[in-house]
Amino acid sequence: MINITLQSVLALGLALLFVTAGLHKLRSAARFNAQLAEYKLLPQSLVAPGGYLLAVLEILLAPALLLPATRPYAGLLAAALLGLYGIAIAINLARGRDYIDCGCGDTPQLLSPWLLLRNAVLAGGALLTTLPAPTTSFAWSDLLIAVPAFLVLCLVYLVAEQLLENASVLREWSQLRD
Amino acid sequence: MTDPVTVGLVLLWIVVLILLMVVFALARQIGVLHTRLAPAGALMTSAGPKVGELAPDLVIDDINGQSLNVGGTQTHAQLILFVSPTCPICKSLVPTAKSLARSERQRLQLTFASDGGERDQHLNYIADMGMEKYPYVVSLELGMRFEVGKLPYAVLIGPDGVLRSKGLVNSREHLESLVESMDSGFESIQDYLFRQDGLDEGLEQKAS
Repeated sequence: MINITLQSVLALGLALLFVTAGLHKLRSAARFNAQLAEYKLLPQSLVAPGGYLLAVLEILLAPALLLPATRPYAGLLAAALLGLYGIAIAINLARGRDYIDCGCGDTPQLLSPWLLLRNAVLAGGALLTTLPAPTTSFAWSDLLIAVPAFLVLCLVYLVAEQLLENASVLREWSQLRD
Repeated sequence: MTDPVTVGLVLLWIVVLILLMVVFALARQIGVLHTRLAPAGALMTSAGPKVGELAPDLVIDDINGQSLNVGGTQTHAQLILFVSPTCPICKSLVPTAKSLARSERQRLQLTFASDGGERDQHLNYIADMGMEKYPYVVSLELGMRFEVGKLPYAVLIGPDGVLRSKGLVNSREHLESLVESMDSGFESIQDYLFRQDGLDEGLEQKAS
């Protein structure tokens, strides 16, 4: 059981995250495919279709997360997808290939265990959207929770991303000096 | 809204949001500082031979053992793109460089260069990226003479053997800017903007 308001906020946040990530992968497909190839998990011939599939999947997850009927399935799929990315990162960390770009966005970012934590937290959030939530009648006071909670969620994510990016740049520097 | 608990809650939300925004702004500023202070990564790097001077004149063997002239007087301008099989951005840039070389083929000869590593790895890379038609050089010396720090790095040498432009390239725009700079005589976009503005202050700095 989970409060429906909080669940909606989580779903909205995740939907926003997935749709921007998916659109970004489609827009700079060549770059994403190169990043995906560097993970060295897919045979070269499957990289381009794989990248396309991931992007489309991410975009489709967004509306599915928002609709109450499909939300539990979408939540599960989102958690699975985040888990898959986590495994891909973990495998490459274990291989010692921590110098590759994670493919998270525009700014190149090296792989690090922090990305695993980020994905675990996001997957946890996705799993929370699969819990049954009793629908209550909408009250205006719900907005008092929902709007700031959503803003806080977005800001915390942005801060975490920025700090990860900074840490990655710092690590590149210290490697340059060595 | 007269309930003190509600008022308190609203105030706390506002404070939390403001503090989060402050934290984000600070983290962002640190990030911007990092990129501004980065030791390498700007398009133009000052290391290596200077633009406008004679480029190093070398004869080296390409990966198939054929000898290749770098620098010196040639029939075509030479665009040397430094790449590596392990550099992801290079992968997306190689097709771009090839298409640029095709459209400028009357006056431009494209050469790929890389350093170290196993021969097989380079041969696979050439086959993967379809670079068979262009000379591919594996040479530590070439990279060192041009003081290549970060990849993908491009160097453009005029038919007269003079270094026309050089820099870190990440996109077609960057590559074209090198050719453009050869045509226009401006070292870089920065140089162009600088001369357009005619900043006295900057000129004095350059003179001193």
